[in-house]
Amino acid sequence: MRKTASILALVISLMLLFNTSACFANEPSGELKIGLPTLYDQTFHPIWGTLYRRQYMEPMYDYIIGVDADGKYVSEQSVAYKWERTDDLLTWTFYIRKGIKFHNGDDLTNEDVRYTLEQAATKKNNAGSQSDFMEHIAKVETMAPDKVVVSLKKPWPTFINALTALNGAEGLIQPKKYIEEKGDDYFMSHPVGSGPYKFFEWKEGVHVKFVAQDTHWRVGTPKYKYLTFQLMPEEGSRDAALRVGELDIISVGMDRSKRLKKDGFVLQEKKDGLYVGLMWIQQFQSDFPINNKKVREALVYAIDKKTIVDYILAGSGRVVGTATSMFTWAIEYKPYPHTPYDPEKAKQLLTEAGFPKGFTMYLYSFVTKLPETKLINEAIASYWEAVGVKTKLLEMDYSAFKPVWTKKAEPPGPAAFILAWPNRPVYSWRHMYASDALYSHTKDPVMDQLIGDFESETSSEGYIEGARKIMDYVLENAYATGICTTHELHAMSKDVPVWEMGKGVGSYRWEYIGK
Amino acid sequence: MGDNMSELLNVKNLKTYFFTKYGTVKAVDGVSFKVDKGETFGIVGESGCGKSITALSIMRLVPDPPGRIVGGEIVLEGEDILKISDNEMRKVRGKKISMILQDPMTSLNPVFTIGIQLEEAIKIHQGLKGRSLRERAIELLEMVQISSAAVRYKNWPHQLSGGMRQRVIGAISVSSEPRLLIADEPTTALDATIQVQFLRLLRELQEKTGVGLVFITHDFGIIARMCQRAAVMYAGRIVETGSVRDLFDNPSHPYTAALMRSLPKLEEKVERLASIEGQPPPLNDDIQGCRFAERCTVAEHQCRLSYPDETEISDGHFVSCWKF
Amino acid sequence: MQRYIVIRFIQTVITLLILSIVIFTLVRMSGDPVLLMLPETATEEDYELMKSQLGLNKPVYQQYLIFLFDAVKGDFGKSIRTRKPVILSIKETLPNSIKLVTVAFVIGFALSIPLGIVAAVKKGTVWDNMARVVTGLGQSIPTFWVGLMLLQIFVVWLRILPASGMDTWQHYVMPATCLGIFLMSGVARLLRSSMLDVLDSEFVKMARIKGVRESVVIWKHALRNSLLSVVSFGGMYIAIMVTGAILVETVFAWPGFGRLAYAAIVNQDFPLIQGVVLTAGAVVMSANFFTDILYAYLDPRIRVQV
Repeated sequence: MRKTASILALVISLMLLFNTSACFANEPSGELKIGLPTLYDQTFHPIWGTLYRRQYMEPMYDYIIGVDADGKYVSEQSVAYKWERTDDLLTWTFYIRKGIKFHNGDDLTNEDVRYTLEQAATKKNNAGSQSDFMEHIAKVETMAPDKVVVSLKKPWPTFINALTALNGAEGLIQPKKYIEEKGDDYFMSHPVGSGPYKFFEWKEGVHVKFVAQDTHWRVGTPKYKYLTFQLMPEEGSRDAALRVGELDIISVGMDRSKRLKKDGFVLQEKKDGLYVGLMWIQQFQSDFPINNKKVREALVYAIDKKTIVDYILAGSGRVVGTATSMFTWAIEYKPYPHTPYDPEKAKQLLTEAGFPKGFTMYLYSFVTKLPETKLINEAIASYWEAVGVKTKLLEMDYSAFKPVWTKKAEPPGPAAFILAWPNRPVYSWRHMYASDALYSHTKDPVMDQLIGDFESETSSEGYIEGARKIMDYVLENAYATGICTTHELHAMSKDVPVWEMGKGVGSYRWEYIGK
Repeated sequence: MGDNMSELLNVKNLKTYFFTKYGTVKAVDGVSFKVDKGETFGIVGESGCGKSITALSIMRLVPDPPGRIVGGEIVLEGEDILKISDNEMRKVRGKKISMILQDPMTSLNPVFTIGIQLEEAIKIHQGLKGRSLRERAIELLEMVQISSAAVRYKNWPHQLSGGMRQRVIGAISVSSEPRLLIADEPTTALDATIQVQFLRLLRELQEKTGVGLVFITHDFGIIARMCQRAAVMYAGRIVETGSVRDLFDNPSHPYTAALMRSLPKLEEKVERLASIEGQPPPLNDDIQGCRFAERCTVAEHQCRLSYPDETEISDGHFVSCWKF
Repeated sequence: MQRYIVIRFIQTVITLLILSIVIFTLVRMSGDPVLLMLPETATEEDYELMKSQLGLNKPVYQQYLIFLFDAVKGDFGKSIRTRKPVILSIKETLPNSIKLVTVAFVIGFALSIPLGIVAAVKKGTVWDNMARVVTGLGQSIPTFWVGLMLLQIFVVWLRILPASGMDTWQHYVMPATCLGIFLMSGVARLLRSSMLDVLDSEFVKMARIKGVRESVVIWKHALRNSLLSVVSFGGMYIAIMVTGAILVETVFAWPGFGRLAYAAIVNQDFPLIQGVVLTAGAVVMSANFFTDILYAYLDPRIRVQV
């Protein structure tokens, strides 16, 4: 009896040994389960749906231009191993890497890149930068052996940026032959890419699962065999699932992250995920106090942005000075000076503007991607009250607010709103500040002139300069102000190695874990 | 001894109280009477006098809580049924004692056919099954003069008229040939012509089965029509017992006398019927004396101090009043 | 009975028609769907283009008729967000919810019937008070919180149940219990009060007079009549379940219809909202329809003419 037992023990330990040795072999193993509150559209077509889907879609595709974790272009990570442009910024040539295969076995060629760029410049592109691509791209051609030549209608200095993870999903390469054979509808739910992970399984409302390729040109051998994105809307449920090991990484709010950290879980921040900015409603109306520059300035001076970050966001974010996303190409990563908190100056400016006793402001408050939006609104209202401006919060649905934003409905008086939007490059100054734009609440000929100048700029340097001029002009006139960015928090088990989550919105670089 | 042989039911000093948050309600407070085999005994009184509770006490179906039988004996064929177990009592119900309730519209379960409800009773006490069970049920329906009984057997209660339902209940009640049948105002809810029919039916049933009948009513006319002997109840106690002739010809208790005066009489033409001044006392009051004293025209000091014992003023005619 | 069914059926269809008008109007009043769908960079031309693409520039009655005829064919259009036919999303999620709700119903009734009976039969005793506390808690504690507590106890502490998913019977335990508890409380209270009424009735007294065993009196004579009033609220339970399901499905990541409805509303996905509301309406209506038939089955007074 005892003998049998010892033989059995030996066999088991041998098996275990084999098992561990298998782990040492250069193969992906195990499963990484990520719990997310939403899986967005749950479609897998790069440009059919929001760019947020990149959160789970990205490991399955390759970008035309790759970036590292800091957002720098890296040709080794790019499908285009080399790119060139003419000095007039109108013709761009991409050299496509050989030997990359799609998951269905087809070769990735310059034809696929051409197709990808052409598709981005159609109305079916819903990933965020449709108008940029449609306005700029004139024609895309392929040339033997590996070239793609793009001709633009007008200069587009940030074209390269638009093809990376920093911008949107347009840079993800789509398999031309496969889509043309099967159709977009089929491709949407049976996607084929060339990334380190292959599409494995999609259960709507449950999870999306990917399986690793043994080796990949960009990342080598992925650490995990399976990547599973589990949909779990309730934070408490994600918390429970993480604690019992059903999940390895969860998206988590600020409150809960502290408790999880205390209980031995590792926190992983995706920095500056959202940008929170303040904008005016119908400041062009001459009888509105906010038509006066000094009043606008006063209202910006009155807000204590740092306290908002420290207390409402529990320090998980940072104060910003720019009036649009801080990653806007021209001013990328350079700290922009922000208006300091100075209530005395605010009062003084109000007096100078002829409103020593203040006036009544309205602040639209609606749900955004940031759960703390309402608290921030309340804070702003109280700061304004403190300098004598009576502030009424207008709580409503985003859908009810949108007609106000598009000027299809009148505000009850001078008003403002804050919006938390993805912190990604913005070039569409026209849509935000031009006198005739749908969403713009600025009517300023100087601004229109600056936008026109910027758009007709042909040199990179001039483009940067033009963008900076607009930014400066916006801040100088207090046409808008940034409040802060927020960091997006994740809690994960100790077994998962810490990695850099990347800079782009929805770009998490899962495939680089353990690399 | 001879008395004992013919005696069916002997209720001795029965007390049924209700214990509510407003105090103890002495609904039945020392009631005694006897019923002989095959006899029809009436209990008459105004509503709330405790006659229905007396009936439920005999069935041992006083809702508990809040009600409870706190004293006395109920001797049925020589056995005190207050002393037997619940389970034994259940076997007595339906088999030895049965009861017809006041409202035929609500006394049948609306979701079962009358056949099922009739068979249920037969099954419990006679253990019949299948065909013979069905035959017996139809036979009983015929006995209570329900036409095309085999069809009616499959009907639900709502398909039957009130009079027919009461007859079905009658059939259920006599299905196991009980020794004692209590009819608690069985005709109050029926139309006058149907009343007469049903009373006739009850009498026929009694003749056929020899069942002893306790007839509870507020209607002296029915007492006169149905009963040999009767008791008059007032505020939880019997004030006078005797043959129907005694009660009508010689009503001795002031209450009975007052009731008699309030009856319309065919031979006399009166302007206005006499009514009794006042209301019966609330039963949760602790009254030492005669309960009718407050309304009594001849009450004396003594009447308010203690309750009078029962006095036999003639053969079988008992009165509880200080006058005697 | 047949006539009754036909009448009820026609009533159901008319109610659904009214519902379709209401939801069609409400969706259009709650915000301009075109504005919601357009990106922030859209221009006036984009606005007009999309409006005509969606057929929103046609007269409203025409839009409604098109919507209605498509809906009758089972075509609610495509979701704005997922571009998936609405009917497909409904087909995928509704069965999951039905499975969950069915189990919840079984649990709910298995708990509430004995609870309601005990509370009524033992009225005023410790048992009744205990039942009252249990049902009171079940109704007043938010389902959401119950779910989180179950998670904490069975998943985090005891580690005997999985946190999410719907593959095995273990996955059903917590969400179905959670929904079941909510249902149980309402039903048990309703049953208790109707049971008390019935136990007080003359026909129960009559049954006892016949010498029927007390257990038979309760389970045969009293329960069936008490259930009538419980069944008559059948449609209401379904409505409760639909709302309850949104919360429970959220907590337990159950891929059901409730969450689809929630997502539709949160995202202002107007074709999905229309499809979901009409489907929910149809579910509640048909549940009502079937409870009415069940009611008629249980109550011969409705089923059999005099």
